[in-house]
Amino acid sequence: MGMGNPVNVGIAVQADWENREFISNISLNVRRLFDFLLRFEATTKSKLASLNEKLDILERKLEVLEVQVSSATTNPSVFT
Amino acid sequence: MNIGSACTTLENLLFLSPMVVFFDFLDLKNSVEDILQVLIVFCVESLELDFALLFPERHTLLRVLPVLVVLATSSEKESESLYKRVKMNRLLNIFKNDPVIPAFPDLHLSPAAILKELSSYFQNFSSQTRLLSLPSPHEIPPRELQEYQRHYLILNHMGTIRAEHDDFSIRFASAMNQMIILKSSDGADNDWSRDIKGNMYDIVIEGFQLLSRWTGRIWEQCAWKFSRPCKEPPISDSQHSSTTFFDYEKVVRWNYTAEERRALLELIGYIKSIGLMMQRCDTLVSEALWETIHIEVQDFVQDKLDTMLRTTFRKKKDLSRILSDMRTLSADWMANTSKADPEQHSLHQETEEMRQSTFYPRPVAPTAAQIHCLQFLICELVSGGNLRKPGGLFGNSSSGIPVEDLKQLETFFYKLSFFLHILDYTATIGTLTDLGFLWFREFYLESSRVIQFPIECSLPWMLIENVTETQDAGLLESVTIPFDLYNDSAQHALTYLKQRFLYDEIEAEVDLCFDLLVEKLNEIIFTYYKSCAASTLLDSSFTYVCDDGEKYFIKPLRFDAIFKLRRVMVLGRTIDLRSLITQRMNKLFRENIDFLLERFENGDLCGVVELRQLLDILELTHQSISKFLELDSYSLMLSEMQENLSLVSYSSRISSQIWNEMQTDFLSNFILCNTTQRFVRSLKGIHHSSQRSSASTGKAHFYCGSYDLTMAYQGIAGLYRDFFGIPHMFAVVKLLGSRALPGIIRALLDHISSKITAMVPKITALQEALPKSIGLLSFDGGIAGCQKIIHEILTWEAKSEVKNEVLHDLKEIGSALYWMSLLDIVLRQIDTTQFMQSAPWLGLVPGNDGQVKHAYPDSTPFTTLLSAATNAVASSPACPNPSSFLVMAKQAEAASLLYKSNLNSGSVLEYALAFTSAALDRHYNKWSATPKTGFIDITTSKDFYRVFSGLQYSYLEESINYPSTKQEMLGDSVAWAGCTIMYLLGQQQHFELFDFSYQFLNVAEVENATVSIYQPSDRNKSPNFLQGYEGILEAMRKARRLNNHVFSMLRARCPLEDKIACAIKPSGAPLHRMKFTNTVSAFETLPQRAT
Repeated sequence: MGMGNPVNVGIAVQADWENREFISNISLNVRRLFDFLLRFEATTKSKLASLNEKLDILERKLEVLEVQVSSATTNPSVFT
Repeated sequence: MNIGSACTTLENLLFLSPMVVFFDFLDLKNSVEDILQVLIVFCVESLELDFALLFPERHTLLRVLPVLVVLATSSEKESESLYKRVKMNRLLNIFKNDPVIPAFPDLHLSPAAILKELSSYFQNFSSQTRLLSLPSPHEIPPRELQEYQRHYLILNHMGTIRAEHDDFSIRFASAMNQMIILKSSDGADNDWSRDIKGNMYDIVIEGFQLLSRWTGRIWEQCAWKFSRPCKEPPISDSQHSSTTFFDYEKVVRWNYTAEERRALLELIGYIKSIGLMMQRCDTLVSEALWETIHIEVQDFVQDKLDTMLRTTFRKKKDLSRILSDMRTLSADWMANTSKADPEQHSLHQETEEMRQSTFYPRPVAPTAAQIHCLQFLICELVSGGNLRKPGGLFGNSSSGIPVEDLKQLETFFYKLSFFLHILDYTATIGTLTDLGFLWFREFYLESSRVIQFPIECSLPWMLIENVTETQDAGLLESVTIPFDLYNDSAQHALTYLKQRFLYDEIEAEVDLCFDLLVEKLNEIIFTYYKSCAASTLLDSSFTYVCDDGEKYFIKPLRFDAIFKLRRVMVLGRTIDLRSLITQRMNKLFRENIDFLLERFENGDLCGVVELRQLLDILELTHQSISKFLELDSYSLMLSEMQENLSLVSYSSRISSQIWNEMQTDFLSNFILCNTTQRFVRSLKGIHHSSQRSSASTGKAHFYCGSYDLTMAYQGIAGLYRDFFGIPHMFAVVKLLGSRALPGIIRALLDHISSKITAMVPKITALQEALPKSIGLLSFDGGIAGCQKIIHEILTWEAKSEVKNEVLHDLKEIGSALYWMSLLDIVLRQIDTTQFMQSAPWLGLVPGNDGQVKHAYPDSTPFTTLLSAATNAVASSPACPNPSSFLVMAKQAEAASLLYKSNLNSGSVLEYALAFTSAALDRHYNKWSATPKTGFIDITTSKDFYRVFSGLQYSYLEESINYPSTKQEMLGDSVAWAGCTIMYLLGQQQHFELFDFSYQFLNVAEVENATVSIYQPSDRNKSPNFLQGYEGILEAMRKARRLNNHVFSMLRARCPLEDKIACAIKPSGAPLHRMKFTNTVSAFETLPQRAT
């Protein structure tokens, strides 16, 4: 079996190496970009979760306070 | 086994096709047998070398080999030539080393079984007795079985695995750090960077091998377990004993011991963590990996092959053509020049040696095609196109290639096959860490003819359950790892098997598992912290002395890692485990409070101490969990469950329950013992609580966590279950707080007042039955005569019912009053404690006369301190905004004002007495006859004291005559009520003078004295005339002592104001409107009520 003209193949291979360097460079950087995005999403999510937790607490406290206040305002006679 | 064989045969063909193609176009004249032989050689050599194999390939080779062997021995001649190339022992060794081979998730194969199965189709093979005599997994003799067991069970390798894991993770991390340093330092010198990258490459390979070995172990253990089902499932559950077991249960559910599950989970954890660690740095290392591979390939192609071309293959035209083909196909001649400086570039073009030394690698890996071509060419090079060549692939020297060249070629050949895995970094890690097979059970589902097995049979859930059941501190943190298994299997079902229904099954199971896990986890966390709290609150000196005190100590667990889980990935969903736990924890606390309240509501008032204990434990639990989780505040939860969130509500579940109990049970059924200061349940009192539903026996974590602690606390609470005293009052005060307590007090006072009102007509009825005037008892008849007279006066036989009712009313009033006095004692104590704590802050110092004095008239030390601090902060330039400090100083002033005004709180008892007095005033006319003459009428029967005196006498008499009937029902509170009423009506002195019992005692005393004077000789003997009266006399003395005690208490706590009365002067003239004061006898030194 043969390979055609070894010189031509060699030139093609060489060109291929160079092209692939370019491609892999770009693809690697795109992957890095996505990596970053994923990581960013993860950290943001966990920060948002902790914020959400705090808001939850506040909301529930507020609810209780509202109930208390409403219990007071519906019976104004008690306070006069 | 038929299914298995068919499947593998199919797989064989698929797997081997590239290999066949490889060898096929070497030379078309080669027969199928030759190709099969080459394949066998390849398999055997690869398996024996075990270098470049990841576990999936290894398993495939193992599955393929028996089939190949059968196919290759199609005739005598062929089999001879095969065994010439590959010794029979090598094959036997391989088959023996792996008696079971994983094929599919829930299916295993064994070489022995394959050989036996196929021998019936291939006649020629049936003569191969050595191969056919291999034992199947279930036929393995016991001695070898032990060895296999040791090999297959992960449990036995855990020590090594742990060490490998620790060592590898450290080295990987350090390699990563170096990579990061390298990245941050630009223009680093070449050698150093190549070193680091090479190191990284080595570590990655090591990691792959490690992961492959570990995951392979899990596969193999699974296969082993499948091949050796558990003989007899444990018949512990009665419900299971009758039912038959699924085969799957035998091979999975009962086939893993707790230790094995633990080891399995640990290993899964290692695999997943290492896999994740490697996956994370994917983009960071890939450049280094490409570069290193590039160097390897270029080094071989450009340098080594060059040397070989010039030496070994100089004479061999056809072989050197292969070498130069290899170079043409994969050499990257320009790599060295692409990044070098132009000057260097021109310099290094000159000589080849120079070029080698400054070789600048390109971060580009060869393509898969290049790698395959290189592999193929190397193969062709060493075999020379002759498949019939004896010996192995690289093992023969007949081709005339020197050994060291062969060695180089062989190493590179196997390296090439590994390059593919490295280049496919993410996918390789994915394959190596894919443990989804642990879930699949389709084969067993089919054979058992059921739709699905119960969740207990599912291996991932078994692992989770193992953690939650053993509560192993080391495993708790990996409790969510089994969900990765579900993720893997779901991924496998969707992307590889492409079966929606499988995914649905998995999803359903995951949903269920996750819910169960969260619930169990909550329970564990709650129980743990509750046990800790209970153990802390237990008297430590007591547990220290206790023989088995260790059982009250809780071994520490850590949940920090679980509390930090904000994003758990389950089937593509992100779940905030922490918030789920918080949510459920809030719910759990509420449920617990509700449970405790309900329990209290189902018991009697004496349970209040236990309620307080349990609530205290719960509060401490809340405190310790709040350090990690954002829980609702305890007081809010408590008031929510007590239903007194409203600002205008001054009652609560506890307070209404307490009042309810007092009204229906306590006041009527409890009797007072004045000496012990306790109320106890009267024997005749109906035990309400026995009729109530006591079925609500809650879970252990609603009490004190661990069983031992619950028992200990129940022991403590048991001490307080049968009486009501000071400890109960403390609990009542603590539980009700200052908000609900006034409600109870008011209700109790109203109760007293209504009882008094209810008593009025009954008293009148009794009064009517008395003679109009009652004189002093005469001393003439002695005690017997006295008794007769009294009997004549008290003609209440017809009204015994009214009498009893009055006695009961009096008892309730007395109990209520005594309850108030207990409350007063407790409140005093609490006030004093608070005073002691606040006094130094308020600047209170003891004055000369025992009174409290303010050391600083205008300010308190507390306000001074804070205002000084505020001034200092405000004047300092470093603090631009001191407003919060100003607020703080203001608040301090407010606080000290509040505390100051709280200092002199009144006495509850005094208030109660005043209230009772006011209530009595309404009936004053009926119970206290105003003398018409202005003189005190000593013979009247209209006064209350006469009635009470009669009641007391008859009560005492009855208690002597019919012991254990009346007295137990009434106790000491009757005296409390009677004396209080008499005292408040101003009839104390009348009572003390004219009470029948007192007079009776006087008569007895006089008689005793007279008799002892006249009969001194009989002094030592009991005077016989008193015989029959000792009992009643003793009872009367006791009653007198009790009455005196009550009166002196009353004089101390509620001194009577001056009263106007008439008196008779010694001369006999009446003196109108004279003031008389009550003399305070025993309690003269007690502080008087402020007027």
